[in-house]
Amino acid sequence: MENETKNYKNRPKGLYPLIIPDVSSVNNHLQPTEKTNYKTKLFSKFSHREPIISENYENSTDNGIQTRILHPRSKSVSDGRGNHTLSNWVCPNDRQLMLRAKLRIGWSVKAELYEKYGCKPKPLSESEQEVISSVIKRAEILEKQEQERIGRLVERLDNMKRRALGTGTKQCVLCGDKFGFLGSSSMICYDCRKSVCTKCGIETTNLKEKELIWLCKICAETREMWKKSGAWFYKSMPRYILPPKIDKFPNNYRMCERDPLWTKMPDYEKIEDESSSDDDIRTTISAPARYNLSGNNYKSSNVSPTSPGSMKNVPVCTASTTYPSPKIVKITVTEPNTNAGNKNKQHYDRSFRTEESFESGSSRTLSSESGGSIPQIFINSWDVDGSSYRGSSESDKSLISNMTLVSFANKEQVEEDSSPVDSGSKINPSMGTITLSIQYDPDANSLHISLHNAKGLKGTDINGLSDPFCKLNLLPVGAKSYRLRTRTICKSVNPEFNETLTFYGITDNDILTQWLHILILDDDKYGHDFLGEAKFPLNKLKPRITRDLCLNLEKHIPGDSEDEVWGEGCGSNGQIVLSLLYSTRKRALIVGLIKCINLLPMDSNGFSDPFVKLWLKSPDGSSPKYKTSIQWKNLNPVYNEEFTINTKLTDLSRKTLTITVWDKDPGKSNDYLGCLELGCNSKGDRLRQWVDMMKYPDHRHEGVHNLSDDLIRN
Amino acid sequence: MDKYITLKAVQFSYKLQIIIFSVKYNTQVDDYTLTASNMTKTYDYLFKLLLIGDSGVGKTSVLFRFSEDAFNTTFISTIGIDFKIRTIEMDGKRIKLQIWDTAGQERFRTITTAYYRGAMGIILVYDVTDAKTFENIKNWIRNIEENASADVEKILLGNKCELEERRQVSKERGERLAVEHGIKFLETSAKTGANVEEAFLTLARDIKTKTEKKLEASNPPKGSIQLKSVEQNRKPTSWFSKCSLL
Repeated sequence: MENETKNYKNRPKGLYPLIIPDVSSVNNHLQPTEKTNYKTKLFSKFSHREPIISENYENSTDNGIQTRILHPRSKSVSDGRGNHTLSNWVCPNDRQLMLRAKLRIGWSVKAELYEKYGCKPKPLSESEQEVISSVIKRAEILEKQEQERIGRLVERLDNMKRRALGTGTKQCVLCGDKFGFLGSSSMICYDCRKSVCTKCGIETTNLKEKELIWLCKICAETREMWKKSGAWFYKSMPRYILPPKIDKFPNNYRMCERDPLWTKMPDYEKIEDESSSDDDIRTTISAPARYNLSGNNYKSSNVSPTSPGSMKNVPVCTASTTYPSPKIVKITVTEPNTNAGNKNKQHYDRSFRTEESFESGSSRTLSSESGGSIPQIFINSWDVDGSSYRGSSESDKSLISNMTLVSFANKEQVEEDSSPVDSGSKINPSMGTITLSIQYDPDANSLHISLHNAKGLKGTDINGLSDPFCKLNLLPVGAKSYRLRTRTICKSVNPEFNETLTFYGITDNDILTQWLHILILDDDKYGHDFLGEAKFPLNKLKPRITRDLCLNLEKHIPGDSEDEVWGEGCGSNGQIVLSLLYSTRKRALIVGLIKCINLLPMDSNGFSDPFVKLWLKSPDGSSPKYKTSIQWKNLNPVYNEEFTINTKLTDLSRKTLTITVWDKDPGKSNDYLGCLELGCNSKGDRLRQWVDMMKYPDHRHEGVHNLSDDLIRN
Repeated sequence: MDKYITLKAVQFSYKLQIIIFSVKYNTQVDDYTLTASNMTKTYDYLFKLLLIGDSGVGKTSVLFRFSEDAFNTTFISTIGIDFKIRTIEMDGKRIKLQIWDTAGQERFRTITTAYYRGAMGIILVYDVTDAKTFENIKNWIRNIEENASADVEKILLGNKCELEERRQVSKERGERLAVEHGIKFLETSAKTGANVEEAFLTLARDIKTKTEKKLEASNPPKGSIQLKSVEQNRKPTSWFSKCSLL
């Protein structure tokens, strides 16, 4: 070995072979030289081929092969692995690279060689492939862990944002404390420029400018997440998997306290069935699993005081109905794996909670061209125009796979607009969908709208059902515009309207500029709860061609035009603000009557002299009645009075709190101003407040409710 | 009868509340235990490092020394790629290092270069007893420039420094090269374990420092231009600052 080394060292350095212009000759030299080396230096048995020995070439190889031979370990390797190891190649030096570039013979000496001899760079053997793929598999497991970890970070931040209470101007953005004379002192967050109190802010040094800055906890957490997830390096949030929903279950639950509506679980299972035929787009819903689990918990844990015998009467199907739905849109995205050599596709399941995000999406439009706001998720975004509609599920797939998912998007917009035929493969919308057909008839100047049905609406009553009806409006509101209303479909979250409504006096100009606004409301005497809204630009219509649409419903954002959407006669009796608290210590329901707003004037002086009567009605009989003081000549009376009604917590579900407002007329019979009933038969906000009161005893639950003019007498 | 049915219904609905309540209670406990069990494994950062250099310089040995604190004299050429994990603690943060070990052989080049892009730190290794591997460092650096992210942190290691008698590359040469490329340099020995730990820790620290710098330099979380406010240095407003003479 030592001698050989010397030989190599002493060899005169000749011309570098690759400057020989005849490329082929170089190649001819290349192959055999290796053989020469093997033969002469180590493996004399490899003499099956007569080498074309070239002095030039011997020199040239001292970059690669000689190094290997000199290496103290190379012998043992070559013994174990045969001659492959000997031809190990090291990175070529500058001069070689330059020459190769000039000659255009590839990056390495071998590149040309392989082409010439028709053999690829020794294709990986099967065992090697196995080793590599096992490494890749290990890496994938790690990657998944990492994605889950990032998912937890993302979720944490999301929760934080959701719990932020203040506006950030005159209040602390996080805790909602007012700044001012005695309040907390305000700082400006360096990142979001919102005011934050010293408790919710973090003082930190800016490394670059070496100054002290304040960050609100949300921005601090965002920075932290940016750091921890590696997003700082990748310049965007890496892929992540949100924790499974079962983990988020308590969070959602808590969050629902602020959610105005009770909802029924949408029909997940059905949707899954519909989409199961499609391999690439899967709507994976874990909700049914959760309910199974909750059922198990229930059976095994016996935490509830009810006897097991009575539980058997509980129908399984209704067990999920009263549960406030987390309203999660789960999107399964298929993207090609970027890992080297791995052709497998990975499925990324991501779930986005959309309920909050819709609030910020007031300016959303339904067409796919609305790419304005940056964090967007297009689930199915194709042109609504019938001609360019790509209805096949193939294009659908490609669209979804090309879809870039936005990271910790503040405003996730789930856009969807397609024909009803495709609704099966679509993601499960959070607020439900409505199917309708629109036809514009320019001859009759009319716009015919056939409302077919809506699906997956929110439930507002204790059984998770609603009494929905549709209101149609054309936006922007003009002088001649009017609204149309369908009939109410009772006790349904998947109502079949099957009604055609027509707007008359619609001109071509109107079609170009106006939007159809569909509001779905819950019919209730105390005011109509919003079940969802949808908008559709009329300029997508072609004259005399009926368009079938399936629109996703969104959360309605009450705006200035509130009066229009609230039904006539609703809320005109004024409102009442009251708080409910069940005190476990006193074993009593404490009703706090705070005030009434905008009561009807009943006296000739334009005012009323209101007082409030309340009692707890139950099937077995009523509690005594309670009365507030009389506020003379006041349409917005403030009472701030508390009434303690002794009752058992378990009895409350059967009882109804009845509140009536009266105008005191001395000497005459009192005038009736309105009433309100709270109980398990209520709907919407009223039901929520009532159930919250039972669920979270010893907490005050405040609510503002409309008064109804139904006369209630005991 | 009618009344009885409604009564039952109401009773039932109340029971439901209790069920939901208890379920909620249970899942909360589950959630808690889940996070508690995860706590032991969790980490704050994941840094992906990459070892590159000519074949036989001792990349795998260096990694083996770092991850298992052991050394093996038999040479087994790495097939394609491999990685090892080690979690270290730095400034109270747990940093998980995923260190990719690449094959130095040319035939795996296509596989190995695919891993350049995701690496936050790259460890260049040469063999002090083999001048060729040192000369090739330049090419490896060019390789990095072509394939890796621009933000990548680099460190140069001269391995096998325990073999003083066979040394071909002096420490000064190594340092000079490192200074030329503006990267840190250490001479290590996988066999004795000298400087191996330091090398990885230095690189991890560099990445961590970069993390913080990056964040404040561009402030990317918002993805939009932030207006500089005049109130930037606003002090906490106390009650007397609100007082003014009218």
